[in-house]
Amino acid sequence: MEEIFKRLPSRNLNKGQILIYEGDTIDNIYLLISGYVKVSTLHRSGAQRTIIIYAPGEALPLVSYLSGQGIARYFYECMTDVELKIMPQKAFQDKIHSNLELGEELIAYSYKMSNQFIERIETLSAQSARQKIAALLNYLAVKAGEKSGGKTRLKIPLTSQDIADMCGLTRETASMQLQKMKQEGLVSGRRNLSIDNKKLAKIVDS
Amino acid sequence: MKNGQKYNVFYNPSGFVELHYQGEQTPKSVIDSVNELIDWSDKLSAEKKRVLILIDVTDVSKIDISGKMAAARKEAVRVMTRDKYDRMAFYGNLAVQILINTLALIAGKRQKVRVFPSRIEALGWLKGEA
Repeated sequence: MEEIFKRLPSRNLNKGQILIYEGDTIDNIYLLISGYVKVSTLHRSGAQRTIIIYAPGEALPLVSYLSGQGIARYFYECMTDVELKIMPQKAFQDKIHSNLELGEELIAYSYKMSNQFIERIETLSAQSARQKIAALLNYLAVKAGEKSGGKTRLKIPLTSQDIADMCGLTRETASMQLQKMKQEGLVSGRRNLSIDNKKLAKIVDS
Repeated sequence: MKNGQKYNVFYNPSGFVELHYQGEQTPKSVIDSVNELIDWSDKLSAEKKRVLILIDVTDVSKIDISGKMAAARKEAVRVMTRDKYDRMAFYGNLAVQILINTLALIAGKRQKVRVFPSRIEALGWLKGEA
């Protein structure tokens, strides 16, 4: 994937900037060089629901581009400062044209990402508040974690509101559950949470 | 569709060729079905008729993206690349949509090949204005 973005100019965006709005025509495909981008939708109540997070090395909004009619289905917002490479979708089409090998790679990559979407949506639709948060922490540990001595430190700073948005909970519930998890020694730290891997695995597997 | 048959191709009097896939596919079933589509499109082209193709992938139990089905994907690109059709509409789930759109990009035919979540949307585009 990185190979086809080689030699393209990069662009920096600030934390909080929205890269793509729901309903936008997909004019560009982006490769994330550094930072994190969250993909969210708005609930009927107007509340934001974060579905997945893109990490460095991943391309977006590839799944929307390949599964739809060229219209973005979600909001793509920078969770941190971000550097990305940009390829106009016409140039992207030209790269794929007649390139079965690249096409095969894209299919595999898009399936992996769409499975992440499905898993996250399943997590959001079932389970208790505690399990939702544990499933989220497990997802974030894989996506944006740094392992060290039985613990994983998340590279993305998170507020209780962020966690609530990612779990479909109110901020109060997310905050209360997080507090309990801190008391149990499951998580520690303030914005960049540190997770005890063994304790988390016990909840996720239960 | 007869017992054990993995696909069925027929001409719908509404003006298009219909292909229905059923259950898990093999490279052979995809290649055979593509060859039948090619025969139909050659026949309709020779009769100077508009060639519209509707493909139902909703009953395919599993979309296999492994190397085992690479020959089938290559064959799908081959039929898309041919010029003897006006429009080809697929309908199926998200996995199907990703697969078909990528194959259409490889074939360079995203204007002539579209994929939709439902039959009615596929028909709406297929039979819509050129």
